[in-house]
Amino acid sequence: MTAKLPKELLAAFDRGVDPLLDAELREWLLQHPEQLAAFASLRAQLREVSQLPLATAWPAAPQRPWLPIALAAGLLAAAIVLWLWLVGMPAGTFRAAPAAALPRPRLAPAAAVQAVLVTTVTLGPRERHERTQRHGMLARQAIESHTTSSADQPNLTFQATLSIAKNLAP
Amino acid sequence: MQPPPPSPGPQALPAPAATSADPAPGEDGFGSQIQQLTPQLRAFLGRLLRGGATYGTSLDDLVQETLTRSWRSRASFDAQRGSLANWLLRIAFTVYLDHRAAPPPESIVREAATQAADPVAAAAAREHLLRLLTQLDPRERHLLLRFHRDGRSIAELATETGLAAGTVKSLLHRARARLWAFERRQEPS
Repeated sequence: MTAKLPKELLAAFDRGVDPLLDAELREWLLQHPEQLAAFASLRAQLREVSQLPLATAWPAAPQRPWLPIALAAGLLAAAIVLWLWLVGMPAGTFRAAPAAALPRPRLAPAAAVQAVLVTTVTLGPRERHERTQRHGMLARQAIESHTTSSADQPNLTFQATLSIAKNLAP
Repeated sequence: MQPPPPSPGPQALPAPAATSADPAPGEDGFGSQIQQLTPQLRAFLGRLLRGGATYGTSLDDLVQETLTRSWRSRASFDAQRGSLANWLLRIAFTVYLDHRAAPPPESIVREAATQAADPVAAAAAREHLLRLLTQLDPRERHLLLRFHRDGRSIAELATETGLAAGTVKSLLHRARARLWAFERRQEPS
């Protein structure tokens, strides 16, 4: 037993004729009595449709209520990704452990740069001054060393180190 | 279409002559089973009448004739070949086709046309149809109404909607197939 509407019946309806005018279809229905009830219903309904005062209009577009929502969500996600890429993610936002966080300069682009090391050396006739600054995301360090050199005096060297670490707590 | 092996139609069967071997009405349960199927039979014949020109045929006449023929042909019923309901519907269908083939005189048609149809059954059928239509896709419903109610051709609908004629036809087929499937789902097993 098939539940499928026979093609010959559809073709008859397409031609706008009563399928029972076709002898072959009549014979087919007699050979398939299990289809008779559904056929009678369909034929009656298609005839009764002509009496329905039902307003109808062709839908302007296929009904896809999810489409605007999906588009808005996609745009929002793209904007968030772009914004994160431009300004850089806050420290430790998506990191599993603080130990994995690496220093990053405040103004550096969010690329592979972890820290910036700047060393300035000032040379005088009898002295040498060196200043090293390390700017990272989580730590900042300044090392200053001064060395004097004189023929009649021993060399003097001093060094000052200042390290500032940001809050590494998760 | 691959029809199954031909079976003797109910109309082709000679009416069995009443013999002493015939069971009395209701003796073998046949009568009571037919009686139980009578509402289904009336609904089926009613739909057939609503689906086409009635030629003044009365539903009661068709039911009566079907019951008479089924009783005469009861010896041909074989439960191995199908259900009693299908066997009865087949006889009813033959009865309906016979009435279509031999329409009654014009005077009877006119007289029958003046008789009011059952308003309750008509309203119920219309409500049922409306409920089914709401379950169709809006495009399918629109095309079904424009084609079967407003008499538009497939080519006209294609122009109207901007779809290809093949797409219009396909949507119409799908709409009819859905109505067909709805009805089959509601058939008693």
